[in-house]
This record gives sequence, C-alpha cells and structure tokens, in this order.
Amino acid sequence: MALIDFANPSRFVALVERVLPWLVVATLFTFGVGLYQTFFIAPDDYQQGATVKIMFIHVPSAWLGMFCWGLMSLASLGTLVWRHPLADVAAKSAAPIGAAFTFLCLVTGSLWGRPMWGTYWVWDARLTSVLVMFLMYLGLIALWRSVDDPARAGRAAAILTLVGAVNLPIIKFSVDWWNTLHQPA
Amino acid sequence: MDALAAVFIRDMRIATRIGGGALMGVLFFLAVVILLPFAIGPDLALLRRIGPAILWIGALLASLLALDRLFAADHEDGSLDLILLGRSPLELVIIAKALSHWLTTGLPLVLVSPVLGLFLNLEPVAIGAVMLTLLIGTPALTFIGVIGAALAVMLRRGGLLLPVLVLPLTIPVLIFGVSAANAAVVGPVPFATPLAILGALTLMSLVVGPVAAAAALRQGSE
Amino acid sequence: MQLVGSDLVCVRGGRPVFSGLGFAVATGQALVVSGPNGAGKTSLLRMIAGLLRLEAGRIDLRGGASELTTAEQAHFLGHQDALKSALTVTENLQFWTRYLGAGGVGAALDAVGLGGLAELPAGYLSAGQRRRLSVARLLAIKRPIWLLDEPTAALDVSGQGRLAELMHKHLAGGGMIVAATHGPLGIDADKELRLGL
Repeated sequence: MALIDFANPSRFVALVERVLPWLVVATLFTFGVGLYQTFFIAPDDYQQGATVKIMFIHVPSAWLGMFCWGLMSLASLGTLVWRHPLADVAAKSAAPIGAAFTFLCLVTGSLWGRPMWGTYWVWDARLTSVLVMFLMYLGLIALWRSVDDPARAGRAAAILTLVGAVNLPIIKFSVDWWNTLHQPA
Repeated sequence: MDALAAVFIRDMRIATRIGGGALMGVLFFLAVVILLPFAIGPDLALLRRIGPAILWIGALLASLLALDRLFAADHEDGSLDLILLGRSPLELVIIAKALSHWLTTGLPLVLVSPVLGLFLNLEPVAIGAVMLTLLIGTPALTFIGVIGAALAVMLRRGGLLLPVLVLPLTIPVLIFGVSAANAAVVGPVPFATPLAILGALTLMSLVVGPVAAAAALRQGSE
Repeated sequence: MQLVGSDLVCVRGGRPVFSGLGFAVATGQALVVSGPNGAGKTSLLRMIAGLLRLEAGRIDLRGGASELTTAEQAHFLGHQDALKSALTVTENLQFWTRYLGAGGVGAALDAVGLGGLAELPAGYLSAGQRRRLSVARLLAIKRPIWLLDEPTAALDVSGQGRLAELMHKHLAGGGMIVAATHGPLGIDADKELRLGL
C-alpha cells in the first residue's frame, strides 16, 4: 500500500483509529520529558533567573501557532484546488490547536514580560501582529461554525485562511522591520 | 469595458436612488466621534492629540457597517448568477462595485471629517492630514472589506461575523493612516513615509481584495 | 452545435441526488428535465451554466464559439428574476444587455407586452410582469443556449402561450433549450430527462 493510498478518506480514518492512541501517549510523554528538562535540568539564566524557563514554553508555542496557520494554508490550497475532503478536516482540526498555542504564547510571553520589561503588554510590532493572528484564528473558528453545510464552510474558511497567511511573514520579520521591544529572533 | 461601466452605473444609480447608505455611514461616524469625548472627558489638549485616531476609528467602523449588503443583495435576487455568466472577469466587476461603494459610502466620510475634526479641536494642518489619509486609506478599507462581504454571502447571519473577519485585515491600514496623520502634526517621521506605505496598502488591497472576493463569490454560488 | 453531458453526479448535503447522468441536445432541440422537487433539476441547470462545480463527469459543448466557455454562450432563467426595484423596467433590461452583450431593449419589451410600462420602477411590477421582464431579457440578449428553470411559474395562460411561441422561435433560429419544469411547457420536447425516483 503506497503512502498516497491514505489520501482515501476511509483508509485514512482506519489508520487514525489504529494510530491515535499511540500518538496521544507519545505526545504526553514528550510533553513530560520537555517539562521535566525545563524545570529540573535547564539551569537558571544568570540575568533572568528562573523566569527564563517560561521561554521553553513560550517559543515553541509561538512556532506552533504560526506553523498551524501555515498548515491550514496548505490545507486550504487542497480544498480550493482539489476539493479533497481530508483537506477540510485538516484545516478544521488545526484551527483550535493553533489558536490554543497562540493564546499560550501570548499569555506566557506576558507573564515573562512583567518581571523583565516591567509590563504585561506593549503595543510593539511583534506582539500586535501575534495578537492579530489570534483574533484571526477566532474569526476563522467562528466562520467554521456559522455555515451549515460543512463543505461550503470549508471553502469560505479556506479563502480567509489564505488571505490571513499574509500575516505570517509580517510576524516573522516584524522584529527586523520595526524597532520593537521584543527581542530579535 | 462597457460591461464594467454598466455595473458601475447601475450600482451608483441604485445607491443614489435608495439613498441612506451615505447618510447612515456619516451618522455612525458622527456618533463615534461624539461618544468618545463623552467617555474621555472634555480635555481639549488630550482630544487634539488623539483626534486623528478617533477620526480614523470612526471612519473604519462606519465603512464596515455598509459592507454586508454589497453582494448579498445581488445574491438574493439572482443577479449574481447572471453576473457570473458574463464575459468580463469577475475580479474587475468587483472592482467596479467596490469603486461605486466607496464613492457612495467612503467618500462622504472623507468629506465630513473636517467638520468632525472641529469637534475634536484639531488644528487645520491636522484636519488636512486626516482628510488626505482618509482619502487614500478608505479605498483600502473598501477593497479589504469586499473579502468579508463576499464571504458573508455564504453565511446565514453574515452581518454579525463580517466585521470580526475584516477588522484584523484592516489593522495595518489603521496603523499607517493614524501614523501619517500624526506625522504631519508632530513629526519626527516625515509625513511622506507612512503616507507612501498607506498608498502601497491601498494598491495592494486593490489587487488582493477583488481576487479573494471573486474566489469567495464563485465558491458561494454553488 | 451539440451540448453533451456524461457521468454527471450531484451531491447535496452529503447525499447523492443523482449519479451517472447523461444527456445530449443539439441545435434546434429542446431538452425537458422533469422530476419532483429536490430531484436535482436546478442543480443540473446550474452545472451546465458553470455555476455549480462538477464533482464528476463532464459537460461538453461541441461546435459553437471555441473562444467562449459554455457559460458565456448560455442564458440562465432561474427562480429569481434578477431585477432591482429601484431601477425602471428599461434600466433593468439595459443593464443586462450592456453587461451580457446585445441590444434591442425596446423590441424585447414589446415582444413580452411590457412596452407600455417601460419607465415604471421595477418594484411596482406584479409577479407575472417580473417574469415577463426576465423573458424579455432572454430575447434581448442573443445567446444560443437557453437554460430555463421553471419558466412558466408565475405566468398566466396567455403569458405561457407567449413564452411557448418565443421558445419555438428561438429553436427555429438555431438555438437550443434545456428547461426544467413541473408541468407542460407548450413545446414538444425533443429529448426528455426524468430525475428522481
């Protein structure tokens, strides 16, 4: 069976049912390993003290937030160009995950900023563009829910996802293009 | 070209005969600009400093207000199906519709802004700067807004969701519009820089907006 | 010129409405599509008009202008009338002739008996008059393929008779018709398609 055979939805569902429990275990395990290393193995920063450990959660959350939008953009191409049903499924599942990690990124960054910068929030280019991405995630999830026919909802969401993808390079390069309080990447 | 001119003229005729669109936008603009000083307090120096921002936010919200009927009316009476049967590219038809929409809802906001600037104690240079930035920036708001308007055709209660979808995309226009208006008054950045970026945003939205909206309308007609 | 469809599939709300559908209609012929509500008659017409994407199968137009798509050579008369109430009868028709390309507004209005109401805002028309205005649109815009969805709805007996005459003229003049209907159209169907079981 070639890899492409899994593009067939029913085969894919069968595969998922077999593999999902293992993936859940693997996810929890790697989370556990990562958190253990964060809290017990990584040393304190000589300047920041223990608060540097928030970075081990903040930075990957930021990556995942942006990665999920990138994934949804690819899935949106799959929806609009090939009308593949799994593309809709991928986009629809990725949206809450991306939103959750973006939210986590904003919250952990804010908690880190209070002791380091003296403020929970500042309106610089990086924070603003990530907040805008979070708002777009919420708008996208709302869009998914407000169209009854799932196929039409998928196509509407696909267009909005591709338009919103313009935000990804803005976030990435915001610290280079503007004078920001946020550190350069 | 004749087909596009026909679309433009038809929309202008309908907007001017039914009326209400321009007035509704202007009244909403007025409402925002009057409510904010009530909330902030009558400190004139403060109002003068944030005046351009208040005017821009009022114009932005008023622009969003009228958008949801842009394509929904044509969809409901079956005109959209026939428009899709035409020989002109749908993207150009959308530009024609957006242009007529801006002339009937966006331009009145620009023309009313000096009067509202007086309410906010803005000096003449500031009023001129705000007017110019609104003149260049409100078309961008319309062209970005058509994306939401086209998606709203697919939604049952589209009117509620449309501003939520469109607002994040219009934030850059807002940022540079206010930045340009402030630069004219306060400096230190020369006025031309953010104004040029604002113009660039308008030109980009002229392309991206209609293309995305056309894709959305084609998907929505099914 | 021949319009041929093969292996067409229609899915609505996840349920297949029809599959493996085929048809062929040539110049001078009328294809009548009948069936109960929900059988997919409107969907089939929209597929031919290019408004509904084909999940499977194909629809080919053989002959005809090769640089134009099928949609650009077809005219669609749907359930709604595509009329703006704020514009007059003439202005409505003029817009469509300028947009879809052709002319003859006055003659078309006379042919459907609306010549006397030319300057009336379309909002004041009755349902039957609005339908007649849509038919006038068919006459004013010369396109060879007519896609008609329940064309006799809202028309009275004389209106239906007039429509049948116009359809005969269109076929005699080298056009083709695909019409979805519940009841009789007043023309002989050269081809028939029954949807829904």
